[in-house]
Amino acid sequence: MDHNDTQHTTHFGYKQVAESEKQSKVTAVFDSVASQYDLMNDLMSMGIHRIWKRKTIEQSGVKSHHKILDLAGGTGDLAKEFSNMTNANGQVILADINAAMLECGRDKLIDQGIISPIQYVQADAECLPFKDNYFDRITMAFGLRNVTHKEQALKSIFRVLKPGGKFLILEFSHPDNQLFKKIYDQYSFKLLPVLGKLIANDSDSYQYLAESIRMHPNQETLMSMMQQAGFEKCQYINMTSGIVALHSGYKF
Amino acid sequence: MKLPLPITLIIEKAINTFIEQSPKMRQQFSTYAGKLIKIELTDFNLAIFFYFSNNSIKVMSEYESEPDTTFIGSSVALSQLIQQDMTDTLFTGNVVIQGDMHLGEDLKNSFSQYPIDFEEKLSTILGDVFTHQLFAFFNRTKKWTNASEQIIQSNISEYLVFERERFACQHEISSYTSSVDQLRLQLDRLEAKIERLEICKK
Ligand SMILES: C[S@@+](CC[C@H](N)C(=O)[O-])C[C@H]1O[C@@H](n2cnc3c(N)ncnc32)[C@H](O)[C@@H]1O
Repeated sequence: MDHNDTQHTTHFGYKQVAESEKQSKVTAVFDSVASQYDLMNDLMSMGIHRIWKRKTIEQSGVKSHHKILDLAGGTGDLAKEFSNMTNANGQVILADINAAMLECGRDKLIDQGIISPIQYVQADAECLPFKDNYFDRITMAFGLRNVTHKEQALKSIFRVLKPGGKFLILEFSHPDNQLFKKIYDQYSFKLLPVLGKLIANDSDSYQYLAESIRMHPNQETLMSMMQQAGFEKCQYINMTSGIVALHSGYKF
Repeated sequence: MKLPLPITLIIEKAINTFIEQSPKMRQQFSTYAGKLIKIELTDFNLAIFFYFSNNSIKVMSEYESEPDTTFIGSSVALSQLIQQDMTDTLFTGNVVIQGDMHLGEDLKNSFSQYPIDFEEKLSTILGDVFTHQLFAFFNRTKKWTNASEQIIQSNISEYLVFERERFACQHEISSYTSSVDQLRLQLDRLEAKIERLEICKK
């Protein structure tokens, strides 16, 4: 693929940008929010993101000997839980494209006294630097919507997943109720950028986050994209009226 | 029936706070790291999963994996199991253990050493009033069965766990839940109106 080809455009929030530009713009967003990321996460979701992540853990069915990849793992909420759930036979890798997010994650986990061996890898979901058929579980929480070529990422994830392994995507999705959708739109387009401005002094990044959520494929579309990439027994669970959906699929 | 997430999180907190208080117990439980235990309470038609992680126990209403050991019985029979000799209880058939029996026996012995009074523990951690409200709320939510109600229920549950300090008395809870019911009805009506408007527009 020619990355200099500016003919191809993609969306960055609601804007159209050259495909080659999207990744650097996304990186800039997360560079900018990294240090305030956890605080904003709690504020934005009113703490509910912890429940969404807990549900992800329940559905992951992780066992102590599993090799687990937390992709787009950012500041490591899921990786931390997984590292507590695995033993010396298992392995937890936190991979993210953004060095600033990885660093914040590592610092946070060290501050919390988490010494279990999480490995930190800077990697792009679109071309994962791991062996074929390696991981028992792969999770991607709130990461996929930032990826430029989602199909490519799904293929790359499928490649590194072991046969019998399970992949889970936790991502903002499309509310299943009209009224709720209206309230949610007001919240995320009006209030969220203001919160972003007040707390992180960065309303643009939060504007991007709100827009990128709306541009993300809906529940059914994402499920068929997973099937296209080869995943089987795909399903999704809506949480908080579909604000967030947890998709999962197996490789056989 | 499935326990709502906030309730499993509260039980989890109670257990872990209890274990943290005793280094001996912590050490004993750490030998189970990585094990998944399922308890099926037949009288409540309820399953609870316990995942022993390296530094705590995770309590979950579901877990997408095969448990190492499953205990099945009524709440009374299971609490007797802790007090009695295991073979007695198993012999009478009141409790069934599936999977790794050795682990089952071992766990039973560990728990017999440290009987946990859950209600009391929950009360010390959360306060009597809240514990009472929680169970009252839980009983009420049991009755909500249809799909749309379940959505609201799970939203309230999510809300509850983070806002629990705000709930002061039984009276407030009742009026809150009834206003949620009201809101739900209003919402249904509004939705119907929006739908009608949209049809008219077309
Ligand atoms: C909203 S954060 C989510 C962090 C964490 N998983 C959580 O749930 O809190 C999104 C993360 O995706 C990462 N990301 C964006 N594009 C990526 C890509 N192509 N490959 C890997 N990670 C990517 C960003 O750097 C950022 O850390």
